[in-house]
Amino acid sequence: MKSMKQVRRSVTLPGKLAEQVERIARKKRLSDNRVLVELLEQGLEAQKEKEKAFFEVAERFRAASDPDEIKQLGDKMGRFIFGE
Amino acid sequence: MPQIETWSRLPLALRDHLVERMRDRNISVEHLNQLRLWIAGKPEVPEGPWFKDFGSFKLCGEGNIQRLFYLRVRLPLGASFDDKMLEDWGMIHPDQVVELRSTDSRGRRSPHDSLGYRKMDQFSAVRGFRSLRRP
Repeated sequence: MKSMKQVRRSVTLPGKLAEQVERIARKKRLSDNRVLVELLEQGLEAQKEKEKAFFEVAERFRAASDPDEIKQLGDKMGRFIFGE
Repeated sequence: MPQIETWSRLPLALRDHLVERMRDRNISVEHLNQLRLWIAGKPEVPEGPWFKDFGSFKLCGEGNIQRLFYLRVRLPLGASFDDKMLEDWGMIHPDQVVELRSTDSRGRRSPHDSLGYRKMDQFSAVRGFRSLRRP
């Protein structure tokens, strides 16, 4: 069975972010620690999904032969890489 | 310190150029993903000319990304991309969009070191390399 060992970390948060975390914690009646863990898990999952989507678009982009499709997928690649 | 421009703020001609470069199979998708992650971190770039090495390509610019171009360098097998070589080469004007090809007839690429930022005035081309197009 995979170890679920917990590790203690000390992190410094920007003031505004810390306030947001506290607000969420109060609203959900959870500890700040629990909220941070949830947000981290969600963030990591979102990052993984975005990476997966990027590679899928890249594959279609490189395989495309129709000029309109190349233009459309190229634009999507650009937005992925350089931001909206 | 300037930040790299977002896609929609880039001139159309530059976006078309980048789309064309991204189609080049010599540029690895894995390295494009590294570029994506780097830009997601909202990096600040120097005011003047700069470039960053991603392995199969280099991202170049001057200040923000308005003058960005890809610079693909192939060196003879076994050669390393070191300061001495940079000193020996002539300057590439940051306005130029250049594609460099090595004299390596087998088309094999030597390993690149991690350059990070370098000033463009240190950057140059091996004799025989040429500028292919301008944006």
